[in-house]
Amino acid sequence: MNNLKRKRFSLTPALPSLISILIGLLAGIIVIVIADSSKALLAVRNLLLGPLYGIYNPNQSSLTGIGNMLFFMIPLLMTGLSVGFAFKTGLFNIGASGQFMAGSYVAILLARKLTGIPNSWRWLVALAGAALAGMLLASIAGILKAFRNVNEVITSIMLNYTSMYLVNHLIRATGLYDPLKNRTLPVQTEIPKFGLDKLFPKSFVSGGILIAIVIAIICYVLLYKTTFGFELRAVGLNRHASRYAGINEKRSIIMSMALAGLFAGMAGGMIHLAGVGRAIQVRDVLPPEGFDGIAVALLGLNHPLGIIFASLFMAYLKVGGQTIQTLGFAPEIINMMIGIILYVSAMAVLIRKLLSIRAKKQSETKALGNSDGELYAVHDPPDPGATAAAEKLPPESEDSTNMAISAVQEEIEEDKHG
Amino acid sequence: MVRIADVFQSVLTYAIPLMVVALAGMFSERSGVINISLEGTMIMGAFTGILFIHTMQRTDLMSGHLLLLTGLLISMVTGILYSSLHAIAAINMFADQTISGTALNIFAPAFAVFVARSIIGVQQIPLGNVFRIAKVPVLAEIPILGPLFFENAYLTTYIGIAILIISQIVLSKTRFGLRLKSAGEYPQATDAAGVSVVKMRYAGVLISGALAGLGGLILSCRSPPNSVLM
Amino acid sequence: MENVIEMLHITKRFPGVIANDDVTLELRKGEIHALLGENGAGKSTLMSVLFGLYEPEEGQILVNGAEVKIKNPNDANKYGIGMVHQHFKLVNNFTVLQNVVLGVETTKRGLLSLEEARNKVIELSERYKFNIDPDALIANISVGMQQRVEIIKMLYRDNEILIFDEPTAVLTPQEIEELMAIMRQLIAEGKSIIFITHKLKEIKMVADRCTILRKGKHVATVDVADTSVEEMSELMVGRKVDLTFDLGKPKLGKTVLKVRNLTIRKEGHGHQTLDDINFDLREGEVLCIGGIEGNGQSELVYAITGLLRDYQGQIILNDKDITNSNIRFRNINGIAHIPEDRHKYGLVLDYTLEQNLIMQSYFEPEFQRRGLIKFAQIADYADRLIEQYDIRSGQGRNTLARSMSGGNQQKAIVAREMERRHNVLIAVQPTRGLDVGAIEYIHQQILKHRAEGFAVLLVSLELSEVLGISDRILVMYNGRLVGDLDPQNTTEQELGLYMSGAKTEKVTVHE
Repeated sequence: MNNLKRKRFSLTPALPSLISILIGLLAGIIVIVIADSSKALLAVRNLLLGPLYGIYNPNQSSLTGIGNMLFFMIPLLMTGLSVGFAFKTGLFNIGASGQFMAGSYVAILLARKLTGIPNSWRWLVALAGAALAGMLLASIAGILKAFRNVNEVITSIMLNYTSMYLVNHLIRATGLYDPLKNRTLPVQTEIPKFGLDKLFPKSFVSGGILIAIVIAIICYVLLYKTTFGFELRAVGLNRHASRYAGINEKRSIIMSMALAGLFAGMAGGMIHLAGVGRAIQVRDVLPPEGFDGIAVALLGLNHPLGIIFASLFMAYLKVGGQTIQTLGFAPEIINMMIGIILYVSAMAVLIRKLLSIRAKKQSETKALGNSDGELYAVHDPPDPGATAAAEKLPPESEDSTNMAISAVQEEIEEDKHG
Repeated sequence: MVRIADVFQSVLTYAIPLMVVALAGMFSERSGVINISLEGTMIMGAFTGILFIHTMQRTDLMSGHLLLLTGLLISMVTGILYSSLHAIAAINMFADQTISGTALNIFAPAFAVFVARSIIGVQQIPLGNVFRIAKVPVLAEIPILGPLFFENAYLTTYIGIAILIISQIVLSKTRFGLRLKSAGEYPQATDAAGVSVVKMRYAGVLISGALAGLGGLILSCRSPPNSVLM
Repeated sequence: MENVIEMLHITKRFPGVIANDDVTLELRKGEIHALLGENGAGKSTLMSVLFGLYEPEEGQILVNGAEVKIKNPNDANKYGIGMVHQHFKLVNNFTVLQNVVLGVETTKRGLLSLEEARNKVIELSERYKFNIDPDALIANISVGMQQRVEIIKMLYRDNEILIFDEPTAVLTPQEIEELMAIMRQLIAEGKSIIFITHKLKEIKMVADRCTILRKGKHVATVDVADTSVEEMSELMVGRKVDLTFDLGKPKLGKTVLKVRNLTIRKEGHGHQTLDDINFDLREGEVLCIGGIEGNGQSELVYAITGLLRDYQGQIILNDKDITNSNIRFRNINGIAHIPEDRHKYGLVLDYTLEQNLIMQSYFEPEFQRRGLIKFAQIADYADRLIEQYDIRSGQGRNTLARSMSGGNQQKAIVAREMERRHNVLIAVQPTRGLDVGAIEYIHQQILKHRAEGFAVLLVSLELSEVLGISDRILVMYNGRLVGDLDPQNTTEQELGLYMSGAKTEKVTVHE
């Protein structure tokens, strides 16, 4: 198992992501230069280092900036986990926005209405409510997928709008509406800072970030260290084989969707219980957090630990984007960069393929030398071990050569048709 | 009767762009590529179209429906260019179509707002409601159908309906349609028949891009606030 | 006699493998030329070169004596070469006519104009007695009919050289007879045929000459009439092959699996129905369900293993009624299952070998404690199985199943299922797609299992397997059991009669 562990933590799988990030950053810098070359130098500096100085005042301590970044990281991490967790089980949770919205509403509702519960505990109840709301919403998509084989992408997109309009209606119906500002009334209840406010003074930092990171780690353990995770991933990779092996694949799908919703709902709760005055704007627009989650998950290779880093990086970019706003650059440049990064990372397959062709050529010259099979498995001549032992055991080596040929043929066939 | 006609007119206003974009999705899907990036392509098409119309409206070079038609053409070209990014990724690079599409959807609105702010300095580009046709001569006098289709109408409504009919013919009655569908249904068969799957899929995605760009502009030059972005 | 096709000294390399090594094939006008070899001997690659799907590194191709370059299927078509692929290249929701004209459509003023094409298809259909409706959807016609559509596709394009890639694998014996007749009619009309197969009997039936490939190399080209089946078999495998085993009398134990009145009535969904199936399976025997593909064998196995649940009747496993039990319950109460489709059901291809080896037992206390996986124990277990069953792979237990050879993938499944706590082994086509070495290995394992007192339910399409390693044969035809045969006293011909439904008897269980 040591062998396996070492591989899992190697940087090689992340290489395409890192390359795409570099290309994205470069593209962003080029856009800045084109847009306004006179301020470009300052803007690039702010973009890259801004988060370390703080948003509104460059003279602020860098700890304030980091604190703010950690705050922005919360929804990115949680929705990233939501999307990534579902991806791991073969489901595309495009409904994180709606789940986020539902969680936000329930958190505000409970925080304002449950006056009977002491303030120091109320946040926990509100957060749990938010989690439950997201979970219930996502379960609908999961149940429909499991029992009726309804495409979860379609149901969760529709549930996004259902959730948005329902919440907008309920905000008024339950007396949470502030007509002057067209948004929800302020919330006093907040998640404790766990001393983070001392560490990052004058920042937005919230204890939610600690909870989020703990959840990401739990998520990792759940997926990779438990039988439950073993089942979920198996269902994600091959639903038929999982069923054959006696795994209750319907339950796995529902559980996976429910947990994904739970994470997204918590994201909404955490943001509105962070004590920074966030409120739900009553507009007919889906919250962007859910879609950010897709980018985070993909960039983090759908791995909980990867998602921690991806969300940190995206939060860094977002804060950096705000610092260049003061110079007259639209913060949208950040989303452009994220788009480019994702686009290039989609081509990561190509990057890997190029690498593997090189590896293949090398292995050919070395007469079936061993290359990194984990990454390039599909393209390798299979079973070098057996081929090496060819002389000893003729039938088996024949078999392996045959399979190599047909594997290559299949690959070419597949390539032809994308 | 008049009230029903009013409702129907505004229904058409929203239905036509949706229909054009749905047809866009169909062409891509039928060729075997999922085009999630329709939304982003719409934004790009709407953006360049409106930018063009806005610029022209401040000069005297072009006006009226000629301007609209040129704008629509520009939107289509933009859509083709933007969707070619998806085509390259999905067809040549074997990229994950979901990721590529999502990336293009994230990029498009950011790009549109960024450029709008950089060029014009505002986030919303204003556009006078100049393309509405109060009454189509003669046809508006037809009982029942007249008020429904030929009052307070837009030229784009007729373009949209024309596209629907042409799409139906192309898909079911032409050699191209047959080959396109085969590439989506079972590419091995297309290949064995000596037809290039790659070409068919490119055609599907690029047509999809053209229609999505078109749909984007149709949507934004008729909805009341007349602006690129919500 | 003149050669219409000459493929001279063809060499085609893939990374790490030489698929064709200096292969020469000459096709005479008006002959049926068989191309024989094991799975992966290079037959398909050679034909793909001829059909323009691959370009060879070395060698030349001559059509009617003139050297040509064939770069894509269009070029092949231009030289009159057509191919019926093993997996048909037909669009399922297109009509027969649409499939035939795809790529060579006729148009009038930009629109399709298919009247002439329709007439030509009807004419061809009548000439060869194909009985094909040009407007039928491919999805709605039988596999045999689909093959005829493929043949019409070639004839419609006026192809003179016809390649048939393993055409009989999917056909019933009658359909095979009909196909052979069609092939003879085609050469009588002056066409030339390359017939790719690994079934020697069929070569004997129709072919004039036979070229044999082994491991990518040209071994021999022989006149079929002068060569015995044994000689061809030896040329194909490279050594004397003896797939016969001396089974000896089975040591029958108690009855472990009882199937009673098992019936599936569900039209559509591509499922064959089952009609009142009854049988017992006892310890120490190999019971074989024989029959032609698609006669309900898969459904029977799915019902017993629980993958399919819409059935009536009763299934009793080790005296427990499991009729309504879920798959996991059946698995832990005695059923082990080597599935027919190892990529769909047998393996999670993107899991490692180790993970695949515990797919059926990861939940046992041996491998987990309170839901946490015991990695060290699993690694030890995997290493033991890998050694014991001689499963070869690049990186031992950490190899992705996807990157393993088919033979080793199958060994992994066999190891997993045989080592699991169970007493009934259901093996469905366990040797499909494997070469002789791997087939021998799997057969030995099954017989070893039998000798150890396990009950084995074997589902097989291969007559040699059905007759070779079973103690009792139940023949399935059209969803029913139609024969209960003793392999010792049954000939292939007799078995064939039952399999094609020409002969039936009532199969009953003696309580």
